[in-house]
Amino acid sequence: MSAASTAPVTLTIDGNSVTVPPGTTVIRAAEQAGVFIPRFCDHPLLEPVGVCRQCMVEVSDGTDTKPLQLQPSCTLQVAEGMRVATQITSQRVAAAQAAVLELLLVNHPLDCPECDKGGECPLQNQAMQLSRGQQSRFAGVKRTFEKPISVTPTILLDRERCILCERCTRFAAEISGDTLFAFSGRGARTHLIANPAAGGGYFTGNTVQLCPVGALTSTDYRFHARTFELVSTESTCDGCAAGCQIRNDVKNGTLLRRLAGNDSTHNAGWLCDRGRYGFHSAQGADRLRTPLLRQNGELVAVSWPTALDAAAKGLRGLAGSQVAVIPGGRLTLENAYAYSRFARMVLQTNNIDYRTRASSDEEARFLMRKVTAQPVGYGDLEQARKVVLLCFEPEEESPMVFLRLRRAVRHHGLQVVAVAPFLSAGNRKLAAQLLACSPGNEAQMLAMLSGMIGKDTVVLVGERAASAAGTYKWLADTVAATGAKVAWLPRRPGELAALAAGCLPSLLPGGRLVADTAARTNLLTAWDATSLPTQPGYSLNDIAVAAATGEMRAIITGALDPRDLPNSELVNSALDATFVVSLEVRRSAVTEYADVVFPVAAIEEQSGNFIDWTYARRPVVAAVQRNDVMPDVRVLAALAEALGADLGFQTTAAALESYDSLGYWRYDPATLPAIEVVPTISQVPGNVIFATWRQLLDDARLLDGAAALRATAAPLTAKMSPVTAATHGFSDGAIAQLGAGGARWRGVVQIVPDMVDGVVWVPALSEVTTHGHLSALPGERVILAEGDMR
Amino acid sequence: MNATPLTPILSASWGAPYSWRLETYRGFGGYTGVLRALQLTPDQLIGVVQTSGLRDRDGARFLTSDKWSAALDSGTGVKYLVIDCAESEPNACKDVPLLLASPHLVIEGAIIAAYAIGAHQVFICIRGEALHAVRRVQQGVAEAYRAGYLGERALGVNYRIDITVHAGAGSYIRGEETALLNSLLGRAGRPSSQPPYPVSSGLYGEPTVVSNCETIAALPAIVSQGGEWYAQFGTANSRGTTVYSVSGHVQFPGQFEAPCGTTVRALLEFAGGIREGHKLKFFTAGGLSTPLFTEEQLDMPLPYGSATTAKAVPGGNALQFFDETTSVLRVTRRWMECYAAESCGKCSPCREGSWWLSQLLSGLAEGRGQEGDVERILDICDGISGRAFCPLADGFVGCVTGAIRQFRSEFEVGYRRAANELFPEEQSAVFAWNESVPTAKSGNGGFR
Repeated sequence: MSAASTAPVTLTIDGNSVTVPPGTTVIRAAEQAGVFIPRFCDHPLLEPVGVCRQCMVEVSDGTDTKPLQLQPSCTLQVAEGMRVATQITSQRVAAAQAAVLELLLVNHPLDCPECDKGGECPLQNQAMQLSRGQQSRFAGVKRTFEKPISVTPTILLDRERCILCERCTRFAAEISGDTLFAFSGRGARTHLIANPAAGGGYFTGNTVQLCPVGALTSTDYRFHARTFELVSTESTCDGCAAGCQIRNDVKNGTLLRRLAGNDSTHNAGWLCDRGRYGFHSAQGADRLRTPLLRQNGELVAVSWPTALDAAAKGLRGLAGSQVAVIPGGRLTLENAYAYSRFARMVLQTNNIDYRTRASSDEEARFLMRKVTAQPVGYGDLEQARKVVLLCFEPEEESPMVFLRLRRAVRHHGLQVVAVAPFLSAGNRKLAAQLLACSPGNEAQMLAMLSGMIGKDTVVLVGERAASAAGTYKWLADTVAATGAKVAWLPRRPGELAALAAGCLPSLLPGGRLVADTAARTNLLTAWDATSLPTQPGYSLNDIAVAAATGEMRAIITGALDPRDLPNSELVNSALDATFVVSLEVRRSAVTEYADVVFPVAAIEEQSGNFIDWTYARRPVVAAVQRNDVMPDVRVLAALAEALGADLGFQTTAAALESYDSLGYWRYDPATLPAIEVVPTISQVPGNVIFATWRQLLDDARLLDGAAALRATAAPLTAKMSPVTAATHGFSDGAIAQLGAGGARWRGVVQIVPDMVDGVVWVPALSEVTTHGHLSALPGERVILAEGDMR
Repeated sequence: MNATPLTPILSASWGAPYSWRLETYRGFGGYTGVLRALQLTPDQLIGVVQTSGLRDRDGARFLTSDKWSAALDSGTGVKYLVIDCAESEPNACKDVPLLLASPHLVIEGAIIAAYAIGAHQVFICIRGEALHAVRRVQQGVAEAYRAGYLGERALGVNYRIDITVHAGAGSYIRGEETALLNSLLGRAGRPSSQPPYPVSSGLYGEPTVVSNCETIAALPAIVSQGGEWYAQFGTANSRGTTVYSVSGHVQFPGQFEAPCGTTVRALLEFAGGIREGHKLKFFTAGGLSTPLFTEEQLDMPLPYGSATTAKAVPGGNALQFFDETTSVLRVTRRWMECYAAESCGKCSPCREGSWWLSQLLSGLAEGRGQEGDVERILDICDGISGRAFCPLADGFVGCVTGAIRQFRSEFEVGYRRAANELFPEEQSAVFAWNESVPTAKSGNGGFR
């Protein structure tokens, strides 16, 4: 663009002067001037199409040499000296808009009283506003269709309500890249058709929110409420670490619907389907409402004082290596801080590890550096020239990051490089270049990658790097020197808060190292404590090993699902062997081992803060008020009291105040303990290398109760290269069986041409026909054999 | 103005036996123009066309040489020539006879035009319903390849030209450039926002010249006989000859090739006048999308309403004459139903307006109208006019309002009586009337 074209443009709208950047459309300029021009097809985040013709305005080029023309303000770009009259100052415009509205209503049914959109419907609102009480003169026959039709298990379509604004089709083409919708027919018989066979993708729910009428509705919410019955609260999504702003809609104390918030720095109006529909897990029959105590081998409901006394009795006198805390990675900052302080002050132990997933010491040392590192944000993704995806699948693990990357690819020519065993469907939509690499061998690609990385590069590394030995060391040592930005993107929403709160065996709150006496003393003073443990604690694996040897006597757990762990059997036996105090929202696998169970509030029932992958604090606001459950902070404070200690705070607000008073302890990275590479992958016999990662929609407990959502998941397949398939005698669609230890996974073979040889990928924690959970780590060898359908 | 003699240039070979065959075409001097064209530089070739004063035989009527210059100036990269044979105007019938009778005229013209603008790939887009024409052109293209007129080193010149014949799903709006290109790309034949204009960013985002079939067919004669020769035909604002379609209540309906600027009266005389025992009531000139004309406008020259104006009567050179047995209301209703079916459905005024208007007009035509329907129709037209995405809606608004303006009383009768009572259908039929011929059902705009 030439320099002249970047100069701001001044125009008048209804006589008021407004100055906007060149290229702005008139409808956006009018918004800046405080004038709302009615519209249906226009959407600020979608390309203009100018099909509804509702946003007509009268435009003069300022010279008045030509008669004033009516033009759609959504496709018209501003020009210097342009004079625009909207419906406010021009009778002609008002009449034109009323006429278009009457035409739009010709084929729109009068079913507002039973339509989900009624009460929050742009068509209804603008009809009320523009018609000024006049009735439509249309007395003819309206078009009708069979209704509703199922688009995906989560979405229904009522075609006769559709006003053909093309928002859903544009969303699919421009934003998500999933071709779910198209138009068929012509004239007034034009109607939306859906192609669910193409795979709806992870973002289909956005089309429901985008729809300016009730044509697209969610099966989840359809006919459940009238809008005036809803109480809405803005909060943060707990689906992943992306920090998306959401709106929780509650009717009579039940969370009924989640919508995307409009926070422009984060999700900017979009939300993935997991965030939108995956909120039912705390609404099931397995919800815990009272404390439980194991008596004669059976868990029985008891009162809070009884449970607290029992827990205190089991924990009293234990300290140091005898006791451990596993808080999990889904906590708010306040809750994570409470666990961290409880472990250090009340239990006098550093045996705390929130990483309920595959983890490594290399990772822990990398994360010590990340606590106070320069944050990388969504904006950096759009400014970068190249983004490297390392052990990270954006669409599966952080959908909003995926959308932002796709935007950058489309609008700024961002180049994406993926280090992976094959190019996933999501990375294909990013037009990513594949550096094909069998899992565990990532380190061998790093030398090549080093040459591709510069100042304008962002490296996104996922939590799976913990099982790719050498990756974190490379990031900390080599990449830092190139000036490239590195962002660590865990899957869970609470990981960064837990990190900040010091829920690691060698890390204290605010980035303080356990090994650093000055930092420890600083914390001791701040907490007004008499003593703090001085030795680094056990990692999750070490805790389990210590339990097996009998050293470990008691474990306090937060959200823990042993299926997430590569060593789940070891952890299960550790829980079996120790006194377990479980803080849980609902009954879980841990409940079966627990001696005392405390119910805690689900995320929609409490307030606090998440810390997202950009280190931004994202507020969590209680949408549902309950008086029978408390957040983890309150339970831990009560437990501390039962143990005769003081946690230092009773409420989430006080916890945050305490945390904030600590501040960060910043180190020169050179003084931090060096990162050592320890192989994490064990050498076991097998005939193929195992590759796996979590897909967005899997058997995660948080998705329980969202059956429709789960039904939208892509078919589960075992992916392998043509050579691998030929070597083992498989053709596309054959049944393969994968064995690791005593577990087996069975599924349909899918041959992927660009995949590395000798590797089989299966989705993690998605068990179609399984006998136990495959607990192998990516990169380990497993046994591939012909399966049968039994 | 006196009657102008017929000037068969495009249609010179139409009467010959097997006129569509390459050897027949060569017998009429075929493929001599292209040989001459390939000896010229593209600039010289555009100069010849500029001298001829040829204007595109479509709605916009740009000077063909202007469009070519723009395309030639767009650089040396990939360019496309798209030939629009998607003739959809219900009264128009020139592309299909031309393609049937003389496909090589279009193929030769295509080579000339492609060479002039620097395109190597030509698409001939024919509406798929005209399957006979599609087949004829496919045969012609195959013949031309066999004869060495197409492909690598076509006609012995180091310039590759390929022609692809594309049968698109037909729709009225496919005549619009961007809709045609969308259809060619396999998308729905709906118009897109302009700019960018196809000449800078068209097919696959490359510069694309979209030219009407008749424009292209005029080129061989222009090149072989010279621009000055061609410019002697026609009027100052419209040079050359064109194919007029004449239909309706005339003695001899058909295609008549005559100089541009021929009057309606002359064309009516070519067709032998109104059928015996009847007199002219009204006529349309340029397809449906124009107002109705009556006897007073018989001396109007076509395709421009006058000999001097630069604004063409929109649509093709399609004339349809109606005698006194015709109900204007019934005709308007049929046309409206055609528009309702042909609307692409993209923008709301056209989509919903055509649906509503065809219902109201059906009601009037069947004597079920409500008092005030005529005012309502005019008011609805007012709400559609100038608001739609492309000119289709303005076309039907002009058609409906024009008909009401001139024959309002016929519409108002529809409050009480069906049009058939005043104008029995069998009287205006030009063929043996059969009651069992199905007509569009009333009430829902002809949709079932």
